[in-house]
Amino acid sequence: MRKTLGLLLLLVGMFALLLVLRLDQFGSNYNQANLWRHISLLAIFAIGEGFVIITGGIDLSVGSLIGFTGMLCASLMVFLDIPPILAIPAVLTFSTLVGLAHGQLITRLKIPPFLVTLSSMMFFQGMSMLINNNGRIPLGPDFPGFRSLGRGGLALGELRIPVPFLILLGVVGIAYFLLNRTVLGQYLLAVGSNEEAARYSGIHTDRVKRFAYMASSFLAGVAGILYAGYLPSPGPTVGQTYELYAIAAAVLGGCSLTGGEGSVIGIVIGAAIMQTLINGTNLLGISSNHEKWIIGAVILIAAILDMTIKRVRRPET
Amino acid sequence: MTQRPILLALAFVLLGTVSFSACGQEDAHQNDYVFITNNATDFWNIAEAGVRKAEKELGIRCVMERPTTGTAHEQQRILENVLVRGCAGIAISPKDPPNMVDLLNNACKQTIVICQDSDAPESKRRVYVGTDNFTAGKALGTLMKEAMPEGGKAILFVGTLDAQNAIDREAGIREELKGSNIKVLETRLDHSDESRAKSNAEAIITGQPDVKLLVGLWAYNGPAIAEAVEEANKVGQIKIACFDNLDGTLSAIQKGIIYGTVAQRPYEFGYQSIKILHALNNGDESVIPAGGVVDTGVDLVREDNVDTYWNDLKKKKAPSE
Repeated sequence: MRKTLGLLLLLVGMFALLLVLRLDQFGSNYNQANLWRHISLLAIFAIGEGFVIITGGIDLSVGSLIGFTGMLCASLMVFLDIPPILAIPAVLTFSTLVGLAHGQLITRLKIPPFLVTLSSMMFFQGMSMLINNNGRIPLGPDFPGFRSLGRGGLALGELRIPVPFLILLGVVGIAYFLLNRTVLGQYLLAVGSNEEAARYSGIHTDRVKRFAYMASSFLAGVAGILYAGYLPSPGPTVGQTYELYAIAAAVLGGCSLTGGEGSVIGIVIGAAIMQTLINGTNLLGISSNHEKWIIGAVILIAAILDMTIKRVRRPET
Repeated sequence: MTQRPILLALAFVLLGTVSFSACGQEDAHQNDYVFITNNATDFWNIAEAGVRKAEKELGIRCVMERPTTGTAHEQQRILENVLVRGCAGIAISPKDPPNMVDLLNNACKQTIVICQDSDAPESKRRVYVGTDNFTAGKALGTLMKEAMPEGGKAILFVGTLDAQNAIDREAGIREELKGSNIKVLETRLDHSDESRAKSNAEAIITGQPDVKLLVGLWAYNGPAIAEAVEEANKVGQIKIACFDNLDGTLSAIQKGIIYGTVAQRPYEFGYQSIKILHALNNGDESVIPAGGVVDTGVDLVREDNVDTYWNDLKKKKAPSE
């Protein structure tokens, strides 16, 4: 809780600094709409990744699945003339089943999550290439409704609330409730902190883990559909390495990579900090070539601070 | 533990299938012409239409290879694989020509190699088929001057600057703009991630409001910039000039969002590359012009000629000839 508060303060500080330095640009409705769109896109699949990390696992397939589900949805619509209203639930069902497959391989065959999701990552990268003979899928002007899912916004006076942000609100609501107000949430944390103990206390740990992987893949599917709406023509390069941003956002947001720890709000703030960093470095005129190392450094500093604070609080360990 | 034999059996079946299908295809590849692109964009669909046309006319077989991630490393791996399985000739758009000279020269020892789309003049490639990118860059410079006659600040957008075509286009633009009142501030890279291409444009629109001209050097940059400008409600205030003829670019020209584009003739890259490869394979050297460059030329597309241009393009893309 205190950690989330600290992160929130960091985010508010970044916003304040950018508002002072670049008020007209950073504070403009256009920039805020774009910033929150990118924050929401990242936060949606980072929450899924967070669920997996909380159980002590890892999901490397998120980025590839985003690319693949986006292309799958677009190709259902463009090549098979399936209306978005049917294509979207089909794609979400598919992505959830992918998560179930991950869960089954991990819990039944006891293959390490790293290996299962690594092969899945490559598999779906490959599948994305095959969908349209390695080409992009031009959505064109034919799907204004679908495209507005990614690029659209709800006009609120002068403000434009990006559609992905509205979806994020829903995802956060459900995920927060699940993690903090249900038995399943307690089980997720219990499995992550000590799987053996959880099992001996009667928790069906395999079922809990399968749920986490299904949630992760489902949310990757949601993000994939939104990215497909954001872009004029979704292609096989979209989504690659995004899982690393998701892991970074989750860890920055307070998830422990060893499991058992994490908060939904923290992950959202982690995602917001990452995207604000990218947005801010650009507005300050720092070349985009510097962006990667800055993000790397911030994550490392956050990890060092976290460990130091823990050691100060509990000097005996 | 009971699952282990099943897994083992599965693995064997998989291995068997893979090696069996590989054996079956090995001989067939010897007579193929291979067309290697430098990324996976729609741009190459039009080139493929040209390749297929030549394929049909000559009664031969061609294979398209498109590196997805758009890295030089991935393309190199593809080229190596093609050489291992053998082919009658290769038309490649090298990603990183200065560092690919050895690799291309090695390929030249085994088969006929020509460059298309992007040249590697230091290598022993037989001929270059494609846009003279320096001239095309100058053409884009002309469009930039037309779009912003009063002068001002401009930013260029491109995937990476290690492809020769990006280097030449940028040089051509700078040459054409010499002495003009247009200033190019910087070149933004997106590493072939279309999502990044769009957010780069968004970033410039927000971060550098005095920039009034956005210029896309690679095919997908045009539509990505156009959408960012449209969503910022800056159509008319921010001008766009770009490269190539994706549907998104042409429809944005129709709507007046993009001022104009320098359209290459990718159809000709595909069509002429294969015809030249086939001629060389049959010992006909007359297809190589002096200087070793076959310039396929460019079309300048603006609002006034976009309809005619697009109709003509659709005819070329149509599969039935």
